Amino acid sequence: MPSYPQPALPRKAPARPPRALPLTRQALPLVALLVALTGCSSPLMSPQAPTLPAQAGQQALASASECCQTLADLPYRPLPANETLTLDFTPQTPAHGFTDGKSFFQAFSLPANAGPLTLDVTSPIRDGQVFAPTLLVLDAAFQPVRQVTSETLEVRRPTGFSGARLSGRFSVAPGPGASYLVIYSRDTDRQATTTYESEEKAYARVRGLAEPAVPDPVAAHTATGSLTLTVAPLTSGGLLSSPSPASASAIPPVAAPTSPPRQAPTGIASAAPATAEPAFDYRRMIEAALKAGDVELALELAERAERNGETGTRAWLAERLQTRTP
Amino acid sequence: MFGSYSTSRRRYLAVLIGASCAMPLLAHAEINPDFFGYARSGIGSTSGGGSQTCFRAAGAPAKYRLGNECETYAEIGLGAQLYQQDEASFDFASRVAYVTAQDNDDESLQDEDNNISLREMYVSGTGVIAGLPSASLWAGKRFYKRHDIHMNDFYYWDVSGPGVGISDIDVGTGALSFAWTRSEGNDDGDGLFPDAGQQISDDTLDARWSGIPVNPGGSLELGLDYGRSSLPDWQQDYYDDQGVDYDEGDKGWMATLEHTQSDWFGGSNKFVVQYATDGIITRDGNAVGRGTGTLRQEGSMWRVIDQGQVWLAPDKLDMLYALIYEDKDMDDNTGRQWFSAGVRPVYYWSDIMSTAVELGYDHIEPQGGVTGYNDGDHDLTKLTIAQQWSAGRGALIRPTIRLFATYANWSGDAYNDARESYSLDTGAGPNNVDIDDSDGLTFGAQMEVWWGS
Repeated sequence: MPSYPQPALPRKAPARPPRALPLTRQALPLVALLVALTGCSSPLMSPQAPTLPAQAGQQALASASECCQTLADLPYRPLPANETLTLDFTPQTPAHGFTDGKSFFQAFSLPANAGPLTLDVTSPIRDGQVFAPTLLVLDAAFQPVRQVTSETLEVRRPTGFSGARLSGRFSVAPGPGASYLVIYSRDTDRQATTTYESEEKAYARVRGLAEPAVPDPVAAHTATGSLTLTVAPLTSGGLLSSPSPASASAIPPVAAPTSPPRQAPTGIASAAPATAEPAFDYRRMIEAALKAGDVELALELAERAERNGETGTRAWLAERLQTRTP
Repeated sequence: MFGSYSTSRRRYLAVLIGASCAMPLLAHAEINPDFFGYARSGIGSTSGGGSQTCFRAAGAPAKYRLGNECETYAEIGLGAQLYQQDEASFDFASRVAYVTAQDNDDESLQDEDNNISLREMYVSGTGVIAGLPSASLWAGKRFYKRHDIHMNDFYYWDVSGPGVGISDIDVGTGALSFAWTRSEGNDDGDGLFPDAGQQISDDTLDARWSGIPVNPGGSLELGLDYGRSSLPDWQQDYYDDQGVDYDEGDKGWMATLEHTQSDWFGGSNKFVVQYATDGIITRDGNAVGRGTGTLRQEGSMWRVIDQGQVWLAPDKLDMLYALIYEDKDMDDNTGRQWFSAGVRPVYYWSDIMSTAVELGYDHIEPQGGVTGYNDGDHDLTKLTIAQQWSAGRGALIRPTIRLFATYANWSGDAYNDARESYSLDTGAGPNNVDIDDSDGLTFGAQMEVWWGS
């Protein structure tokens, strides 16, 4: 395993002691407070790992041993259906030689019964570098069916509440056609760079100052880094999350009104898996997909609805699409 | 007074109702509003009692700001891109600024320290002029390409106001911008003009050539501002009757040369030279390149600035610095020389926590005719230590919450017997040091934030 320099721990004493000045007595408690706050600062520090320099990360990747022979062998872990994950790509992370490049990766099995999901990927630019991810969706047979590359991610400028970052959103309908998700970076991802707005320019922009005459900083795309992945049910965001007559219809009529859906008595539950998918309101899902601009997903959902006996969904979607296009 | 207040409140209500009715319409048009702004607020005390005193040398137009700001100040901005087709787009922006003395929960606009002002309300159209695809045509009130020193909140080039202009015309080597802006004054406020409500309108014409590459990593900006009072016949008649010679003192121009160096110890450096004349200079306030509404002000001003940010140890220690020399030479000897220097090193313990130290020095040499403050040479030194929690590392990363202690030391008495400015400027905030004190200590906490996508 390659080693890289660990940054020295912050020292306790202030960097530069102030010159001796006639501080009056009243100042002492405050100075003491400041010193105390400095001393017990560790709980307030963010536990963020130090940024591994781009070159060291690339070297670590080059010398990393591959974990697996095929995509089917990757160590998949279940993806929670409603959570924000912080994914670290470090020299300790498993590496695999993908067809488009060797990379550290994170692999997930998609929750089969969760319904369509939105995935928000945010990769912060830190210390002039960023992990530019590609997301690969595999079917149940571990065959790639969809690839969201880092070029499709947007560069978001610093807003004052969050720094410059790459981010993107896409949706996926877990099922036999979309069973696994792999996040990695291709060779082409790492050859590219990201130009972003500096904090100085962001400040000038929001305060109506003249734009500083300094070039925009450029972030290197690294083999290691960290990103956040927010997984949420497609219909949970925005107005659709509030209970409405439409959402009530999503509950299968067999369920008792007092019990949550899909928590049938145990005896029936074990007999139930004949139904591969829970009964949910396809049309509502399709609406949500259209609202999210994901026509591909809407079509897929319509196909699935047809397969599950909801004939007419395809025609209904066609009509919807027609009314959407002026 | 109360009547007009309630009337205006009713009007606000009507506007609010109007706005809420308009909301669905806006949503339908798929407007994505930009929300942007700036704010600072906090609490402080003066050692020995009283609220926080803020230390500014009398005669200086600025003070080093870390742990030395006594007011709550905020700008709330709302804007949106309203149109975008092919290469043409129209954007709208508005900004309201709020300032309060930060001494109570409910602070009334009837108190002189509190104010709400509409600072921006403009539309810019980019790519709307045939043949000038990069240029923006704009009209309305706006902050116009302001130049400042962050550390002491000093604006050295700022012709903001109601205006019209065309900016960022690509000329191959850099870009040209032209603007006409409006300001207003009251002839030095000496009461000569009979009705304070009848002000003098000033026009400022501003031309800039920016982004001229001159050396590796370095670029130059050149600017010229011309300001004059625009007197209608009846005002001219009035001043003729009063025997006021307004031929020279109402006009003035300012030239600016600014060199920006990037790749400068991990940060950047700006070197600025400015020269200004007559009516574009203000005697006591700050000369920013804008007409001032004065009629009898004659003289000249030189100003030299070097300022910037450097990283002394990458990711561990950065520093803001500023050096200013300004010489206002007024014909009636009411000018002064101002020398100012400051540094703000910040040590980053982590991504969140840092310790900042700010050392600032201001020296004033008044001309013989100065009244209203200490007419001898005087200076002020302030030192602040602050423990800060911020959303990252770097001098321009916010939001920040800070605890601070500030010590200041100055020459001469703080105030005169009437507690008016002497060596300390009473306008900088509460005045809670004693008249004959020559140093003071304050402490407190402050937040500072800016945002906007």
